[in-house]
Amino acid sequence: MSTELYRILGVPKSATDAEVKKAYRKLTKKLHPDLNPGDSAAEERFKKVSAAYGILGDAEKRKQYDAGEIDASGAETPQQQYYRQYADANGQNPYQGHSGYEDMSDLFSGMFRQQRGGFRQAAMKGEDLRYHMEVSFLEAALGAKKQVQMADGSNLSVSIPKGIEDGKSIRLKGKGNPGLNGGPSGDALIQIKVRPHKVFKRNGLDIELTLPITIAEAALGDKVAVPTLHGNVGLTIPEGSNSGKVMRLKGRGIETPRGKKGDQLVTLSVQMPEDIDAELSDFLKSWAARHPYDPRTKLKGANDV
Amino acid sequence: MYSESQVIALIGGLSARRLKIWVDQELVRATIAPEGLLFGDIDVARLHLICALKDDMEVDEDLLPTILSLLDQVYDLRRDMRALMQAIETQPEAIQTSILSALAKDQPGRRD
Repeated sequence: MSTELYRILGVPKSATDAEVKKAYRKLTKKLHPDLNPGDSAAEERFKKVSAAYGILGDAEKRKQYDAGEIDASGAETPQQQYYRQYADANGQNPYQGHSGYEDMSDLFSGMFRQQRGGFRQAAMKGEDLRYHMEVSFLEAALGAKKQVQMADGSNLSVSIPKGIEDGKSIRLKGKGNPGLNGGPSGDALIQIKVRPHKVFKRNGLDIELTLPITIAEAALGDKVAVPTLHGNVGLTIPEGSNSGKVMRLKGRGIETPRGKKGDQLVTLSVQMPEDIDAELSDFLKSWAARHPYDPRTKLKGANDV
Repeated sequence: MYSESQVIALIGGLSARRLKIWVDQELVRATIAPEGLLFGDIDVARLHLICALKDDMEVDEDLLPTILSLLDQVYDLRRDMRALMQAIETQPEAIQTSILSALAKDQPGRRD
């Protein structure tokens, strides 16, 4: 009976599943190829370790392996694209930093920073340039065309896709620094900051708005104009509506370029008239005396232990 | 390029929630297109690595940015080192020899 896979993970055959898993984690931390870019021996060992764990980490397969029904040869894991294949390749990638060598050598700090492509003859993509842009709430919600001033002083027209969220970036292909040795230009990345709106609030794709209504509209019901992103919409307030009631205007929220639509959520807020005049107070006094009601029945027993 | 849902389908340990968090933290840099977020081959490979760090190595979520930043620096250094080595290799032999002997003198410990 083979114990080769146990040997690879460095555990005895009697190891519990948890011990097998622990051994695998420990070896992965040590041997993962992306963490050992210069060490091909580590990669070979890691492949064996993953393959061994593919069998011993699966209770069913481990049983079959112990019974001699399958062997290590069936444990080949599919070829995975490791990160280092990209990060360690020639040419630029988006995760490249700008670490300088100012603290070590004036000669090299200048060379690596200014002319990263100077050493190599290979064509290199130009650097990406980052910009910030502030847009109004409505421009972000509905989409807009804006002008940005680029680093070289030229103006560029940018279309803001409708529904863009605060903090997201727009990539403009080829509007970054020019490439080196005939490589393509980098991109311009424009990070969007969305200014808040005085009445609309965004929640995902939904728009939230508080709608003040009169006591008469609340008590008797009425049709009231409500501002939405897409203009005013008539909202029917049912008779006897309270403050805090939320009404949904289907499809009146944010619309994404892919056609997903949010709703507008309207929270009612009953507003007293500024002046409680004699007519209103006389009426309410006599009405209240004849029609007592208790809106706080649900609060009873709030302090019961 | 892959869309968000393609990337999630492609990578075992990846959920929509994880992807959103990691994109928001800029651990992975997606391209914003009118049709949504797009990911290239390098982004997919990086997401594989982040999932491996999180799931196979049980790295604390808070440490992910630190580890990735250190890794990015390692790859930057390797890139510059490679450029430097390639530049030296194209020099006449006399220059190569004098560079190597200067290195050996400065760092006797590295002669292994």
